[in-house]
Amino acid sequence: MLRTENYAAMESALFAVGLITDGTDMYGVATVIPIPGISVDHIGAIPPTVDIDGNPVSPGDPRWHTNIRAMIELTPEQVAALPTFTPEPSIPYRVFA
Amino acid sequence: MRSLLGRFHRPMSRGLVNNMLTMNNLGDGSTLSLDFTTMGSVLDPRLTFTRASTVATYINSNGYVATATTNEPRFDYSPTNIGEPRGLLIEAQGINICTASETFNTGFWVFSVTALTTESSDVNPKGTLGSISVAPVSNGSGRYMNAFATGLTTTNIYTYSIWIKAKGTDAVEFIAFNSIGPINSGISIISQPSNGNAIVSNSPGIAPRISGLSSTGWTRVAVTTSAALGGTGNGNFRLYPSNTIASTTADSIYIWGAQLEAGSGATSYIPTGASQVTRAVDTAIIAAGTNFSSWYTGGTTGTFVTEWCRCSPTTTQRTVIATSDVSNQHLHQYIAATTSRLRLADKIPAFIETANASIDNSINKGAFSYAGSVQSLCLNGGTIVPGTLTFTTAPTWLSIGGPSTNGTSITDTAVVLNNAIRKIKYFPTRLSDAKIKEITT
Repeated sequence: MLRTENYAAMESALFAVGLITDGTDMYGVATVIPIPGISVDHIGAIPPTVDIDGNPVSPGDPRWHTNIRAMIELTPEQVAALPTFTPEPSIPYRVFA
Repeated sequence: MRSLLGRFHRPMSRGLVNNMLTMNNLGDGSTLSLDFTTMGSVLDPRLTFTRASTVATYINSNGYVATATTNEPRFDYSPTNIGEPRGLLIEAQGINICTASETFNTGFWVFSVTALTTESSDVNPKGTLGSISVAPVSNGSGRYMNAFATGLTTTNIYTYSIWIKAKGTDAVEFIAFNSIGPINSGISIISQPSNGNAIVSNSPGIAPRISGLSSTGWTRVAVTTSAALGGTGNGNFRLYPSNTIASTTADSIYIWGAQLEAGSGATSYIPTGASQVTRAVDTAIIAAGTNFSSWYTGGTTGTFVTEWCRCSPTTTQRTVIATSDVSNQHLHQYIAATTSRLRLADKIPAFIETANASIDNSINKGAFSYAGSVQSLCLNGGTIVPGTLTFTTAPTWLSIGGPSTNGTSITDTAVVLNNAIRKIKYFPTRLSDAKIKEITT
């Protein structure tokens, strides 16, 4: 899981590492697409956990979170440049199958 | 060993003399004939197939939920007519928001005067032993099992799906709530046993109901909000054994494989544990090179014939096939959102559209023929639609079930088929309107 302050920062980080690139959709409209071999799942903010009555169970995290799945080998430099964080959650909010 | 050549119709693998005689012609004039319903578990080697998930599910030839690993094509079968092939499953990236989708033992699940029982001798939809039942712990109203999600997108429609089977009761009511109160939703039966006679009522409505559930086989149901969720992002999807107002402790129901996902229909089941789980997109492409050029010999002239499974209307367009990128090499056959009509679009994208709609819960056949910027489009033998779309340069790749602007990956994962593609044929000539009407009938 990756984490930045907001979506723009995440997009910049993934661009800088070369995992996403400028492209077009089928209408020719400019968009951002992962490079082949990379899957991206933008989670966004982690919502706080509350019980059914709305009582807080655990705080959320308003920062931007993203999971990536790489089917290509990343260079050590790319891995080092990714906005990872520690400690990693013991139970991630979301994972890739 | 059964002939792979026969199954794959690989003209370039025939004897040289035969190949010269047929000139890539498969006997009916076509040079590509992919039948995903007869490939068994081996994909035609001309296709590049990828999926970056270690687990993805499908229905196997025995009618059970089976798992495929990374990059393994999923040849899907009917869960009702056991052994009936549906084709190659092509789905968008999807997320199961439910945690503990088979054990129901995380905080995501809230039980109101109900309790779970482990059913270790019951056969679950995977065909293995072990499921769960839920029942009221006392008689009365307000007995339910609740899937409780936070952080949902208020502008999204959501679909909650689950396998259920009659035990003490053969009926279930569902109510969906946003943060304000109950909202309308509708039930659709995704699958039930071949002898199943489940009936849906009050749907769409505040409390849609399904009754007459089979007690010997599983019924997978989907509950879809009738509109965007609204509210502030909380969603509750309640399952009431029997009904909302008069449940008893005898009203038990088997449950398995819950899934909550964005969108107006359920996709293949995504098993979860303590976390939400993301299934990566399926990518099936005949890439640029000899795998494409060996059969695509018509330049800017040709005919594509396609066959696919269709479940229900969606609020998103669904791609059947697309050629190359959005330059002058692009023809994109897709099902329009909501209306379910078949469209053919070019790079602009201008499009032509059939007057008839795809048939839900059925096999659909479409075809388009083209000679440069003159086209014809037909769906299920309906009225031919003429077109003058821009198409001036021969394409170099074909993407199946999703569009690709780079020739190697699906670049718009929001418009993926989300169903099974059955057959694709290509003729290097522009077939007559009468012919494409005939072969799609």
